[in-house]
Amino acid sequence: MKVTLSWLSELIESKQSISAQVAQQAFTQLGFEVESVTNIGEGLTGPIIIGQVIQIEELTEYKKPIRYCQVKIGKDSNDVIGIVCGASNFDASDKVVVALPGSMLPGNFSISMRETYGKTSEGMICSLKELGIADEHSGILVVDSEFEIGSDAVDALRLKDTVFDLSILPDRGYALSVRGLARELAMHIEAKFLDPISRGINIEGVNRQLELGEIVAKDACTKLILTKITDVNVQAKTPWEMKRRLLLSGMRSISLPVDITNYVMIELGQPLHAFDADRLTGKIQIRYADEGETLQTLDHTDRQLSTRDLVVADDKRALSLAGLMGGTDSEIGDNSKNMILEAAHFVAHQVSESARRHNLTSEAGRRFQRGVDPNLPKDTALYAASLFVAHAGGRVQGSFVSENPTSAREVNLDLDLLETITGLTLTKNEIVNVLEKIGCSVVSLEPYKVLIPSWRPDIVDSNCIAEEILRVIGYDLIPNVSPPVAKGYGLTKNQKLLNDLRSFLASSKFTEVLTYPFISAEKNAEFAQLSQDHLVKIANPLSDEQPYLRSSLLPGLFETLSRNFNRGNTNLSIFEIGSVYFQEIVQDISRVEFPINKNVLVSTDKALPDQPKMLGGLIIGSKSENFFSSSESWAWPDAIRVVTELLNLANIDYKIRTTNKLGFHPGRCAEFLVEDLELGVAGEVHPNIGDKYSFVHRVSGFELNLSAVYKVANDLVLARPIVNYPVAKEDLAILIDLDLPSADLVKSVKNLGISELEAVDLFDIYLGDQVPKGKKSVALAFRFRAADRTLTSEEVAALKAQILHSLEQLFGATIRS
Amino acid sequence: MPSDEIVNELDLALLEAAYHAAKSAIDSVQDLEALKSVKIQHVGDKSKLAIANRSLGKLDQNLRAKYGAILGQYRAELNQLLLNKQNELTKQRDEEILTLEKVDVTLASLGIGNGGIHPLHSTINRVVEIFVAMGYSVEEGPEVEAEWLNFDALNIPENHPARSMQDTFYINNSQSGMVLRTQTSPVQIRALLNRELPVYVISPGKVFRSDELDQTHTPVFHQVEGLVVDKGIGMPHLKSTIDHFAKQMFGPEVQTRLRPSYFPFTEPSAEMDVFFQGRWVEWGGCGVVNPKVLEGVGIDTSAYSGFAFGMGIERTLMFRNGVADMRDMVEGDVRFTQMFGKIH
Repeated sequence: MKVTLSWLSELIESKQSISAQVAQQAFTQLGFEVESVTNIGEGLTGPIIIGQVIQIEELTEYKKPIRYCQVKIGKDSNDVIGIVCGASNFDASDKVVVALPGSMLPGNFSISMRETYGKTSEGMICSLKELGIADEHSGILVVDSEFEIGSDAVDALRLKDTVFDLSILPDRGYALSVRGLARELAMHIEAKFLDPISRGINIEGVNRQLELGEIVAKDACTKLILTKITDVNVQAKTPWEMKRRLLLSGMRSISLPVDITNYVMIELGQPLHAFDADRLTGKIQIRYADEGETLQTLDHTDRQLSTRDLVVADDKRALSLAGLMGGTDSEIGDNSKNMILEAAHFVAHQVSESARRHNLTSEAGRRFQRGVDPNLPKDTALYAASLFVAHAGGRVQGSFVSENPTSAREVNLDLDLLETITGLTLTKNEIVNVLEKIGCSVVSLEPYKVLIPSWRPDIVDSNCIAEEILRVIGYDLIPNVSPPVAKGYGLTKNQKLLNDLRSFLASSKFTEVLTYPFISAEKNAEFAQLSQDHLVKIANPLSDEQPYLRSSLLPGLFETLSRNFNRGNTNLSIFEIGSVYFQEIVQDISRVEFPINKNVLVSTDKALPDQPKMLGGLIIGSKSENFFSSSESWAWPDAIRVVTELLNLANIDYKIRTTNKLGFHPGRCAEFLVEDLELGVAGEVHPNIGDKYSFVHRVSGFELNLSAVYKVANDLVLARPIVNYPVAKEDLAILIDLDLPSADLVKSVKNLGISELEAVDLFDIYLGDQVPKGKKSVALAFRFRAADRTLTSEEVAALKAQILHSLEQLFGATIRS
Repeated sequence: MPSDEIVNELDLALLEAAYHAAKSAIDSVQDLEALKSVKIQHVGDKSKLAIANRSLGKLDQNLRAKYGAILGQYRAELNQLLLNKQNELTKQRDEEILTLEKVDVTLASLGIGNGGIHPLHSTINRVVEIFVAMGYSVEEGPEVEAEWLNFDALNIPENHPARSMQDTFYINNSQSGMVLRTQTSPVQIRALLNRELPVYVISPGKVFRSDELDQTHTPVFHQVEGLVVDKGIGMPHLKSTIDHFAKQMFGPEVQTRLRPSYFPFTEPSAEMDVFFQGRWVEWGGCGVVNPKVLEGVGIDTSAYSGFAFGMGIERTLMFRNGVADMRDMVEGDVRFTQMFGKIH
């Protein structure tokens, strides 16, 4: 909302003029963010006066029309100067603004006498743009004839002003008007607000009752004032001050009827619409649109109306979308003479709904959507009619008034709550004083009852009143008080684990990345065995090529790997922690009735898609870029080792086995489980996928389901005593089936339950001439130690024999001689 | 045997010669190997002095004492000389080895340093640590969220522009009642339903809005919100908490201010600004929880009230760490993450 300081000041009774700085400070404190402050006429100095063109000589020998004008600049008959001018939108006898030599225009544009087009130009006739009032370049400014020749144009035309561009919060519809903002500014500087609707306007004929219309849709329109004005001179010029204010408020000056309705809307906040009375049939009605009804709005768009659109209509057709925009059909044109002025109150959500349906924004719509003072239509209609009478020679024939008086609203003010919210102990006087400043009145003190003014539909409870009081007093005065000390439960076990996993990866040379979850079904299918019905789909995706949410992190990581590769980052170990999404069945979640309890949340969660948190990673290239240390490459064992270490961090006793997982090398992929719970996979990515991205080296990777890991993670370790009897070390070489997973062999030894077996490690695998086909030789190293004695060599031999015997039984192992 | 002769004939001159020969041999030795043979030759079991020593027993008592004293002195002197020489040569050899073993120690420091935590997550961790230290818990929730949790429960009316398909991603279809959450506020509703009062939580997480990626927008970004619901909570508690938070986050010298604002889920509402590096920066929104929100989840508002605040993590990272382009945070270029290292 753009507003000028001079217009605001007109509505405030103040002995001193209000400075721009004070106003800016006030707006910021009151919650109207100041987007910009523009000092109009800054840099406008020197002799700039009102002149009158008395003679025009057209210079025709140039490419563009040039005029050499005689301009009268004073009362004396000698006060005439010659000015060369490139504009032609004026006639002899028009009054204009003349910048004389020695004057300066905005932008350090200095005016001097100069020879041009074969003439001496003794100054310049100015346009609106040159004077810094508006950005339009429609020729020079012709001013009203009542301005005196030779008078200072800067004063006469009020060319100096300050414009604030304020951002108005959505609950403060009243502030989309000079009236609303001036009230707040007056309050802040403790001056008297001069309400423009209390001007006591009286026009002849206005009280004559005419049956001009009716409200059919009473739920959506609570007030309707129709005023019939005849003999309007639509060609009359908009008075300069009205035009100036409109331009500085960011509006264009179009024609007197349009300018008057806009001017009144900006000043009071009530939108108005003028219809050409001679283009109407019968009476005006406020009703919902009929099925199939259409309307061409003033933006020249043909609109298909819905039966939920509210329209202003006559007996035959819709004339305008109520509260949003008029129709071309009944627009005031150059030849219009008689008009009907509509001032109505439309319900906010009704206007919002139509605005959204038709994707239509307008100044009127913006105001109705944020709430207009429902008591305004009558005063607004009167004010606008008076301007038509004064400036367009109109004659008011009479009015139609239909209004349901809005009953004043009272809100109970809880003083204890007020003190809790504000942290301030306020006296009754202070409270009453603030509330009266914003237009409220306190109607009872025991209990506190506050009468809310019609323009503040946003004030509904004590919290709202607390905000108003703080806003007026200033948020800066809210004291700082520490809240009570909370019990403090720290991070959960899983939150701590996640931090540890992330830190471990970063310390293991892995780099964390973040990718978007949006994906195509094809890409997702590279790594995820999931039918399209189980993918979660976005109704309105940013790109039609990626309408789904991922069910694996790996495709997105592959894209990231590839992007890095293309940017020259070729040795890569990246990881991401994030959600994946899938749904067993597609179901909707219905709206709920408040208040709700936890059960509603439980059933909602059942209907939401599964969204497990995953940890995925990919590796390719050299592990280290240091030529000095070994230049080993990332490969499948690293992927498996990383997952092993991560699961160890979580203290999980997992099982590992070969698996055939989509997207992975069928012979180089391991799966990690606890019983039937799948924790994740790791191994070499299928070479086919790498080939698609033209990677020279093989890519390896892993994906862990953290939500599953959390279920089995253990953060409590029970200690065993440290024993100091001597250790006995023994080795054993056996022949077993080639396919037997080494980890199973080691684990089965551990699982024998031999309390003296402190550790078992696999230290060699041999496949050679002496080993039969289909077998492998595996060497195991044992460490035996008893808790209460030194083991004898006989005892150690017996333990070793027990292990060998078990391996014979379990795997058909034979000792290798 | 010549050495027998020495003793037998009690030839002191011969003993003295053997002593001097040994002394000069030790003196001229250059390395530890040579020292070993000098030791064998001059003081070993088969050396003249050793043999003479063994022969002492054959002498009568007077001579034995006289010769014994002389021999003892010679041998003790020579052993000391040998030990000194041994130490000297050992030290010399060790120094030579250590000199030879000299390397460019700086070499091993090169080429290390890959790996890093994404700065959005380290920023979230920083926030989390500040609030956990104040007794808050960290609450999490799903990213595909019920529309009623994302909007209705937060007093956002049905016709609010934020609900339009231009702003919000809907799941399956626009009537499914499911959205990609546009804010982490639904997590606050979850916290209020799941936890006993009083509630002190923060909820960091990923949120989604239908914006194309450019320098200052991304459709997927991160927020952190805080919520306190306890007896007698008001704006002063919010103000103090925000101020403390900002000072922990940006340094003790920063100032904060609140300005009136509007959010459907808070009343009074405020914008919070931080005076950081010479200018006021808009950091986030906050306010006293609108009693309608609390009543909606069955909380007795005559006893309890609360405050809430929220801010964007991307925005925080941008102005705190000087990231100029939003795209750097989301494209996954490892050079970006690695700049920030492993800071947790």
